[in-house]
Amino acid sequence: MAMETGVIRRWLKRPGDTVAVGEPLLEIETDKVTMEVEAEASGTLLAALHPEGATVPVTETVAWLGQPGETPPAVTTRPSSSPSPAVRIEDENADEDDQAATRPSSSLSSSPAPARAPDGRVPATPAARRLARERGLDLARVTPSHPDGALRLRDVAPLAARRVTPLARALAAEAGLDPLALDGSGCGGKVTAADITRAVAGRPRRVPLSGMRRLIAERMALSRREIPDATLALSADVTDLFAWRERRKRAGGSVPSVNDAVLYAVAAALAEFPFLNATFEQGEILCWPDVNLGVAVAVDNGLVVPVLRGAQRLTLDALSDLARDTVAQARAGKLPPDAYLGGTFTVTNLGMLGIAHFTPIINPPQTAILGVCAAEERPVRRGGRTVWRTSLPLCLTHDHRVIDGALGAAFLNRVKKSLENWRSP
Amino acid sequence: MREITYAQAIREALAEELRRDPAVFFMGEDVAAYGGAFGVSAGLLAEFGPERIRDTPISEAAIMGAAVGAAMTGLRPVVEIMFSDFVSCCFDGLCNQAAKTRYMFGGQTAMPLVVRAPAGSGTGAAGQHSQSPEAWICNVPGLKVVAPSTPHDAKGLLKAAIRDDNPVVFLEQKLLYRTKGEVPEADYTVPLGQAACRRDGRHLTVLTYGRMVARCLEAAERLAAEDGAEAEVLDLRTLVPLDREAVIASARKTGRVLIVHEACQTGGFGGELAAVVAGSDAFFYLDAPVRRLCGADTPIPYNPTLEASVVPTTDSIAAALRDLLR
Repeated sequence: MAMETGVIRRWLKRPGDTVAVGEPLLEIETDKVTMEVEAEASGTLLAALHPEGATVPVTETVAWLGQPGETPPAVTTRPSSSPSPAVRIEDENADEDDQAATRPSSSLSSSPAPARAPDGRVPATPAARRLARERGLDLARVTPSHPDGALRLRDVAPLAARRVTPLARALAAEAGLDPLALDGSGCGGKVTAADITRAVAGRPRRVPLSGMRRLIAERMALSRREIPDATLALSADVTDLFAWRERRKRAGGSVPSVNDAVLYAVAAALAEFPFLNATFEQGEILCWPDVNLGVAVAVDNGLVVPVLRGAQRLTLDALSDLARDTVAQARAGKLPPDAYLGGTFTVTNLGMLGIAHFTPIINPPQTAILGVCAAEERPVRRGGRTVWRTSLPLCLTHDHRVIDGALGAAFLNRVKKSLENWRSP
Repeated sequence: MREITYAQAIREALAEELRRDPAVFFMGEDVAAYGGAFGVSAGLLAEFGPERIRDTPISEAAIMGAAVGAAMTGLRPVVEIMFSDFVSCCFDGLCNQAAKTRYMFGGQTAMPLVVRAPAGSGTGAAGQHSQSPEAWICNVPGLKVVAPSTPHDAKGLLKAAIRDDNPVVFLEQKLLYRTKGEVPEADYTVPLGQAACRRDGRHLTVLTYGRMVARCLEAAERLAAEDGAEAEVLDLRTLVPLDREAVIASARKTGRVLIVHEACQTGGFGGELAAVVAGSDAFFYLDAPVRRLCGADTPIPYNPTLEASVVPTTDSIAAALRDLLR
């Protein structure tokens, strides 16, 4: 949508007229609007180079301002309305001698070359220097307007304001990029959105860590750094459990989920395996009397683990209700901070995502975590026949400082047994 | 509100403080029977008597010595040095005694002493009676220096000076004595050390004081009318202690500073002002070199045409403002 040409609708001043800064000079029409172009300097209009109605590429000189009686330079504009390249940066491609010959006296709005001290430094006021520093502008590319040759704020300010489109500025801020460090491809070197897009292509998007993400990162790294963990996997035959759930569904009312059943079986097993319902803190193993089950809950851009307290004392239905409420509140972000403290074991479930096997990471200072995978139908040999059974893979990661493989396996088999010999609790 | 002259405002301040505090007394050459060389103290002798309104011998050294002794022993002397040029005759009393005593005696004595001194050119009084000696005095730590520009400030600042426990040099420009302005009849003071913004502006700042304030305001109005540029005019009122915050804030706001004083430029107070601006964070906002417009580095001439030409005028101030805005 960049403007490449404009139509001169009307000249508001005639050659010979006196013009003050800010006075409307002509009316131009773009694809979208008609607007007035204001004089950028005071003086006399020496020449209007295009007739009304002409289509003129942007950056083309359309008029000369100067002192009365001055002769405008010999003009070599391309013909109006020609399909020539729309953007032409003057001064940079032109031959220098030619420029000098055609340039009007210095009182014209066309400015003298940047002044330089003999040592190459550019004289500028502190204010101009400050703005250039803040915006990353090279003062050597700015042309002074004051007769003493030192750059003023007014020389630098338009560049600082003009060189970046608002969209480009916003995109650059998003990408953490200094737009003024880029070469602009827009009109008069303006940095456009396309320049930013080009510059950031292939670059990673930098995402600052949220508080939750930082906490997860710290705790997971701590776990992997400090805990020599091992993961044991087996599958439980949950055909009877599934059948029981079907019967409960037909009876109506709320039905505990497969995960609730796992929580229930785990709570019961933990009551018998104190080293798994434990924490390892400062060289000591603390075996906790209560089973405080952490339940991993995925939330937007993260993970939280609210705790179900005294889980071993609850009936299946009570545990199921508590788990459902707690998870819902955790997702809504409504749990108080202490609802996440004091867990003694964690259950994490990726079954609903179809995961067949994974190695959960222990939530320190706990000593183990159980991962629940997706149940699947499997053919099993029984009594010389092949039957289809429902199988639930379980993965236990344990802290080998506290729990050896045999103990972990015993615990996992205890859970498996509960799930397989499912009786309506 | 009623309008009175700058001279009347000073007389009112003196009379009110003489009535308010029996420790206050006034002395100088021809101040009692004659009413002062410029008539400032006319009528005070009749009300307060020869004990408190005292004519002195023609010896500034004696006047200053007596004032220092009186101040150290509990009185609050106000002295008039007939022309401020003559402070050079009592420099020891002023600079070595009055300015130092509180410091060197560890604060065991106060020095509530006011030196009133008519200053400035424009009266055809030539080189020895027309100087603006504020830079001499500002360079002596221990002395406060006041240079009011209006009758209101002259009264309020003089009352504040008399109530101050430190020596204060009160410079009254002679050409201001007959200027009129609104002055409250109720008791009030103007605190030392506070500048007054006489005109708001965003394009450049004029730092000035004394009788140059009026000329700067005229030039600023001309600039606004003819060039559409708004000059901020800051009347310093007190040179020591200087309202640095006001100076820095205004310079920072406008980015261009013109300093105007009647006193000659070399070693003048304007250099101090320029350094305050350049040494502050206002420096980073300066968009032009700080400029001084001061009296010429020459004794004030007797020839009236020459006399008028050696100090800043409304024309020369307006030209300097325009130049600063280029």
